[in-house]
Amino acid sequence: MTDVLRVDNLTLQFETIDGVLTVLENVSVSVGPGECVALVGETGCGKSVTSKTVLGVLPSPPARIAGGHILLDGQDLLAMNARERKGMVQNRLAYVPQDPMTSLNPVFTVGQQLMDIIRWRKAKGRLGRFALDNLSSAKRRSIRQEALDLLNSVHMPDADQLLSKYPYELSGGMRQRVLIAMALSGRPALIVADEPTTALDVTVQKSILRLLIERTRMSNVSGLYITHNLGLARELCHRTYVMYAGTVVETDETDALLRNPLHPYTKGLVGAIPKLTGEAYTGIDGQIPDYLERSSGCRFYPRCSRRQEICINDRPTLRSLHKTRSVACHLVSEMGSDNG
Amino acid sequence: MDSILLKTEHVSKYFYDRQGSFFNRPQEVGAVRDVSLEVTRGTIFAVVGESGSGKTTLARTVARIHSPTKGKIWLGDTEISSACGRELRKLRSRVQMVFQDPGSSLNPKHTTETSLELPMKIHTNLSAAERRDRVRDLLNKVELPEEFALRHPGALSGGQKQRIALARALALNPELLILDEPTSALDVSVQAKVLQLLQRIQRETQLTIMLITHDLSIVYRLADRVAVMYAGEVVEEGSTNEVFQDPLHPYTRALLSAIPVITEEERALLPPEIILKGDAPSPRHVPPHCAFYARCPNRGDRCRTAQSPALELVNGGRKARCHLLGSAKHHLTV
Repeated sequence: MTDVLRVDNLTLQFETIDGVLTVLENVSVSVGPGECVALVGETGCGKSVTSKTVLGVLPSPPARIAGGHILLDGQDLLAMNARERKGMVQNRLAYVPQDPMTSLNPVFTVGQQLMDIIRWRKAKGRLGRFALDNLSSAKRRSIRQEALDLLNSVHMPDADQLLSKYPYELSGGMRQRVLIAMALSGRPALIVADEPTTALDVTVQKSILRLLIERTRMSNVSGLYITHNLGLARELCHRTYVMYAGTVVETDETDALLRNPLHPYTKGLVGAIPKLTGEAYTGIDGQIPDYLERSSGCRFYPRCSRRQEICINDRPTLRSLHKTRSVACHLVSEMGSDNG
Repeated sequence: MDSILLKTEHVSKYFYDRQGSFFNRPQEVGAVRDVSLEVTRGTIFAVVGESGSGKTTLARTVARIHSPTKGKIWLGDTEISSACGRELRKLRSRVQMVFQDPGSSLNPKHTTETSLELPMKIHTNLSAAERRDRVRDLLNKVELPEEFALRHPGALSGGQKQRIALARALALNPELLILDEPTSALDVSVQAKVLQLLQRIQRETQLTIMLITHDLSIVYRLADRVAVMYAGEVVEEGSTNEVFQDPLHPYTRALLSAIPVITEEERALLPPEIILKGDAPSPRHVPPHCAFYARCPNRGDRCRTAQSPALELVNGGRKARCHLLGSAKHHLTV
């Protein structure tokens, strides 16, 4: 079976007054059918930019794709013209934004917004702004019913009343559910969610996670989740890509990755979490390098605790160690051999 | 060293807001209701809860940014709940606060030195040279190089800014330091560093810290005691170990079970997964019965018909607010 999404050696640059910033370098990510995949890393390491490039929402200029392919259902998005690409993305992808507080329009009711999307999906994007007004009442009822079904599918109580409520009347968790309902409305093949629960409380977060897992399993939707929370990645995703400074530094099945991280950065991330088992936790010194300074060596070199001479000038590439694990580090072959 | 530094007696904070017409009666919003706590000198006391549970309002009331609507607050032997004017100003040097977002709590136009000097200018008679020495000391204490004294916040990273905010709070050697979500705006790698710094400073100076957070792993690793807040009330309080090992209140259990952990070993330490439905009640319409009733997985009839339960002393200084304390015990330990 072909992957739903396959990003191959994607390199993305931002052209700014200060110079050209290479914000993604040879990033390869794949999401299989029905699979959930996480992109994790610190702020500013390119997780969101990767997802936005896939969605094609980055303004260009300054963004410029300098190389690579983005295959959606086996078709190269970058080889298409703008209209084909837009159509493809609209049909196959859905996006759940991070902040449920600002992603719903405050001046329309939840029902209006949800029904607009359903209607717009039906019209395949060819639709005027006030299209709901010129519909027959039978059609309107069927759209309303569809909106209700969607809200029920995300376990919203009193869906009927909810349709006439404004976003400000809902709590954060409920708004996030509405956004998930909207994302599911077009029966997408892949949901891209950018920090879907960061703005929520832990108990609400848990219920949203359960919902996402349930919905993606039931309708066989794949998921690409962007998060900085490794615990969340563990609950939600089969596989995880760890990103650092615009490159993928390590990838494996989430459990295996967290149990036995090999790249010093992944080790640092895992080691920085205060654990309940009482092991010592330490952070990583320093910060993400400036994208303007492109050294030829390992991007993690300045912060790495086990750096060696080879790391200064030679940029490691992602090498496959065994079945699922790939690591971009010069020092891993020896370290990794004992668990290969 | 077992003396109580901070004590709150039945502290409540209500806000009033008028919705709709100007002639409407103002509505009461019970942000903090009847909170009684004791914080021992030299310990870290954590307050956890979801957003809207009143933990930040409690912190701000203790710091006397708000004054309590009801109840009394004691800092050592001084009653601070009604302090005003000069008294209040004196209090500022004894209680200091670090806020969540270092980006907005530091003045972007002030250099680090100016920010750190300001509290000293207001509260002490140190000379300019002494103040500068003190700024160096403070920077050393928070592990920043001395040249940072002349930088503006714009030239600092999030973690560095939070260190400066911490240094500013420590400038006057306060007795009580209140940290409101000190690391939630930071990446984990940076968070770990800031937390370790905090722990070191706390150990070295025997500072008393009130830590407001929603991250329970941090509480577990840092705090000596913890109070869990829900809808403005404390629903459970006790030493961190006891609360984590044997949570009494169903909300605490749900909260603990929801911690996103990264290993199986950690998961095994937590109660079995409980997923709560719905949301916390709005502080505008707190029900007369137990505030947790609507979401509680083991609620009974009594929870709806009886008045809101009182915070009961359970054993060995543990407190919990639940009707089912006795009976719930059985099906918990299964």
